[in-house]
Amino acid sequence: MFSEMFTTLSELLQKSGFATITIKQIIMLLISCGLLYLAIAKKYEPLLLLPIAFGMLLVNIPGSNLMVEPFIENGSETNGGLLYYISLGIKKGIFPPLIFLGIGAMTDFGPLIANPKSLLLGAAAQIGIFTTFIGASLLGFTPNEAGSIGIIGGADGPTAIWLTSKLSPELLGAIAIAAYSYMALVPIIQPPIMRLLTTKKERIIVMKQLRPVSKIEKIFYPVVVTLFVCLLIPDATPLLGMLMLGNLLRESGVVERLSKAAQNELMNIVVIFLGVSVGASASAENFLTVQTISIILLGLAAFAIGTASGVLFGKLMCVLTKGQVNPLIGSAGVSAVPMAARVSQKVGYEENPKNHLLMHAMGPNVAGVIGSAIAAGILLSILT
Amino acid sequence: MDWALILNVTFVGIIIVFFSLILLSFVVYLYPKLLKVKNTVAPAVPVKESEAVSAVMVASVQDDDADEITAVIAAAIEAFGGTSYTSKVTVKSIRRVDSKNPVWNSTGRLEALN
Repeated sequence: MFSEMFTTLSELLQKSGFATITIKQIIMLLISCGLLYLAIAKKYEPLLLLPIAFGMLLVNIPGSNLMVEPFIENGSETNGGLLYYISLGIKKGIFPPLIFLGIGAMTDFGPLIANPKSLLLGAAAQIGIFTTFIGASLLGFTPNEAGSIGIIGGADGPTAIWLTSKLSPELLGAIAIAAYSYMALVPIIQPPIMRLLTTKKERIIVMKQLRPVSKIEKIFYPVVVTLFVCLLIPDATPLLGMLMLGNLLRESGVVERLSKAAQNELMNIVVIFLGVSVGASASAENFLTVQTISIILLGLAAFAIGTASGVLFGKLMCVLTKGQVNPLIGSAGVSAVPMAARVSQKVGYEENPKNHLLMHAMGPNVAGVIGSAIAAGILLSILT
Repeated sequence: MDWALILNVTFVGIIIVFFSLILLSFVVYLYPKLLKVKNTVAPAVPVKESEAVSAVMVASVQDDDADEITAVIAAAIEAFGGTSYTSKVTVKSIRRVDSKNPVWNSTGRLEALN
């Protein structure tokens, strides 16, 4: 009897995760624990990093089969894993546009309407995307992979995930983690670049107060942008269309319930699913590659070049407007709303405590969201 | 490595991003001006109330019964303030603000009142 019990126990043990776990999976579990630490203890983008890290933890448990695709065996269909079905929201390009719906409902485009020139700063900061595209191609990535890596420079998580899911889904985990890590590190990465490229005289420029924007202008804005941009670049419609729908829900003032639902309930639910699905895409065989290290380094380059090109374009605008534009607001063009705008405010405030650039920087900041969605649409239309 | 494709994506990409956002900034610059032209014609109709109230109202309420609503609000202020206030109080504008309350709260409050 004892020998039978022993055999059963040893069989169970052999089937357990402890017996079948590989070194790569152990490393992935350690990485996911490290990311959980960063999310909880250091509060680095915890809303996304926490579900991403936990999704990563779940998918690297041997035998969990959470990402197994449904298959037919002996004529009967076996269901796929739980996270396989949830991650269809990414594979089919559904979650990122829904996140954009929530972002639209939370965004006030007033500073952008008051100062339309700030759209140019949102465009300038996208240069990082395209220069990194060249860099990634030089390192041997295929054009589709290089496009997905470049979009990290847009500093916009949902856009990066949306484009990667369409161009090179196998890189999703590495790109999403790089994108969100750099967004969390905006206050560390951007200020040295901003200080390096500007003079003290430029940093202390106080900008003229923005004009008040009427309600009717704000209501018209999402409709005008949708019609104009989506007619110009139809591939950007899923992201921009949802962004502007969310904004119209907010500004119309007649569907307050829907606006609140988009900002809170829907946004929170989608963030959980998106985060877990992204984490689940980072399995050991996909993530622990030399490519991942290259992606993380290239992502940093994309981010830094985006910041630099935004600031340099800000300097150009400063010269052209005879000192009316503070170049520090250019760095906010990389999106990462509202963190990048806060960084512009902070660096300006440190030089001149009477200078408040926040609202001026919000213009390029939300323009950056539009700019990165347009860049993603262009990459998608050329590369597919 | 397909350099033609790489350079094509890079330059076409940068040009289109700039081109579309420059055009968009023109559109965003122009349309508020077009709206303002119409704004000056449409609302801002001063509504002169009865002499006893002597309230001048700018109806910015978009509803069909805007005049009635302004009259009711002015009358409520008049009733609240009493006759001694009438010479001092002037209602310059009545503007609708977005309700911060969820609809369930409002419904609950209405039910409690009834």
